[in-house]
Amino acid sequence: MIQYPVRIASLARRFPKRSLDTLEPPFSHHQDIERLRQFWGVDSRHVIDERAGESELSLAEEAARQAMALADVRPGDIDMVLASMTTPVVGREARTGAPGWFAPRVSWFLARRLGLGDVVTSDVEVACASFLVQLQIASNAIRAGRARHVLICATERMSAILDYRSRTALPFGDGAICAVLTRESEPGYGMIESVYFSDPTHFELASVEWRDGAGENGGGEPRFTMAEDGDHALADFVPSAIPRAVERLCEKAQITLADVDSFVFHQPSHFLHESWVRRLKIPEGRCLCNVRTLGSLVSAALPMALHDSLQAGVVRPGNRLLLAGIGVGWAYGAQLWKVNGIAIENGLSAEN
Amino acid sequence: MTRITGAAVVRPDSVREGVFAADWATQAAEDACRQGGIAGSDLDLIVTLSVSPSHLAVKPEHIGPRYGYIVQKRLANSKAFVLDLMDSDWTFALDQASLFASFQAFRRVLILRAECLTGVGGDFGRAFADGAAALLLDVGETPAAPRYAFLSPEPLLTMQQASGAPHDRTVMDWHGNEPASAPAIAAEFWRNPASVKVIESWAPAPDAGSWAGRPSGEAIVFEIPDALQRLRRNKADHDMTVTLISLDPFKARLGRTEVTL
Repeated sequence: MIQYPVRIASLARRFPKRSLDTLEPPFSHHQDIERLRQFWGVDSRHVIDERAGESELSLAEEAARQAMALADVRPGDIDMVLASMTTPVVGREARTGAPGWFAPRVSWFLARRLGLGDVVTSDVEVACASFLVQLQIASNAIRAGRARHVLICATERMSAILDYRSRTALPFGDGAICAVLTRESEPGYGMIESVYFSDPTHFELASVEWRDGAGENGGGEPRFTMAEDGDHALADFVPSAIPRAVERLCEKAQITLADVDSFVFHQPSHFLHESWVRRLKIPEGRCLCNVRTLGSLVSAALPMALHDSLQAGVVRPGNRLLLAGIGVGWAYGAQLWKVNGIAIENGLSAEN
Repeated sequence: MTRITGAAVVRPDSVREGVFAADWATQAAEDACRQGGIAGSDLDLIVTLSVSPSHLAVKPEHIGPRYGYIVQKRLANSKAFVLDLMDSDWTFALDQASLFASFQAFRRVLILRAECLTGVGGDFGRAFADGAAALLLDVGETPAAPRYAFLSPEPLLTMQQASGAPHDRTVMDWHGNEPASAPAIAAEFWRNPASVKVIESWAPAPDAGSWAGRPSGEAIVFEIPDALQRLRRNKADHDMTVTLISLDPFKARLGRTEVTL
């Protein structure tokens, strides 16, 4: 099989305009709010404001248009759309009473909004590890010659399924981010290696469930559910997962960590992110954490961190970049890329 | 080309309390692995499909994560990677699973579809069959490229959150106002298939003057694995190439791929 190299050509994101501060309502009623703020490392996060006309789809559409423009790709050039959204209901508008959709899902609605015509669409559900899988699927399609341009989207509206009376609502934020992957024209760039794991041991730790009576009319609504001491339970196994994936990736790629220029990890909390950085002894400044002002954006968290890393110059053209993520269920994995220039807004990632 | 080494279906007689889609999926997985002569613990990749908004695993209210992890646990498998493609069809799942496995050097791949639509109303919710099906794949180096054709810019089937319905959390409705061009699209899509072909009953057939009626609710879960199971049992010793045609009704998308038995 002929294999074409793959490029992450662009990355663009959109946030809701409204923010919630951790030390203000609806969080400030927790007696140990300062401890929670320190543990999660979140000072503020964006939340979608439907009254302002925002939705997970409107943010996704804006981000997608920007990503396509940055990659110099027209809507008609897109061959495939891959999307992820952890919230089960898509496109719901409480303002108009329009019910949301379970199927079709984000990828189909996004393709329609963008006027992409007949294009293959699919949603991928691996929670916070979805972006890694989307990159892999897109990369597979381009490498195998099935597609030349793939649009990836991660959009999250966790505010729609959080119970703000619970401390488990604290880490999460809303936002959307899109990437365009294309065929790489320069040799030596693209995904070098990848590894994936799944471990069902802690399947019930965090989930989305129907909760009767949670709706405005007393009906059932999906709600994010985690034990109130879930933060402690996460600390039992999550700190070792990413290092395991990274070490296996290095073995498979026959490199050491010293051969990696930059790292971008999933962003569950400041504590967990730092535990990975410390265990792997990653030098300061080579692996950013952005939860302080964004919160954790679930499937959008990893690409958001990549965007911040590009903006900060932590990830540069020509870098060997290591991406790693973990998602509830639990699935985790890592990828090694040699990245060319990735276009972001304001042109902050210069071409090589 | 991807080889199907096991194909199994589980059709429950009824939905009993405490039994979920993951239970049927596990049974189908075990049966498919047995047919393929491997242990479930040997699987490298588990790809799941499902649109069911509840009754998937653990408890009735559970929506996500999806059920593949439960199957992995029950198969005592510690090496497979589990991923879910939600509402996609067999063609797309076969292609993505094969490509994923090919690039990761995985050999043993399981694709599962499981549905338990208790609490799903609408004109199609009750017609949609509950149960599970599994396809065990042995992935070679060069998966065949599928073809896709789009029958309509609008979905043929939708699942939406119910508004105001007293008992149903979601509703599933068929909007199969398929365009008159559907048989022509299908005819073009049907060109030069392998001698043996399996087509889901709700995909338009090219020799039909029009697309007749509403599909069987069994189509989405069972028909392709059922047919492959029968073909595997009855075939002679030599390899057989089979054309599969499936319909993703949520995207009005026909998919065609080839596998060997």
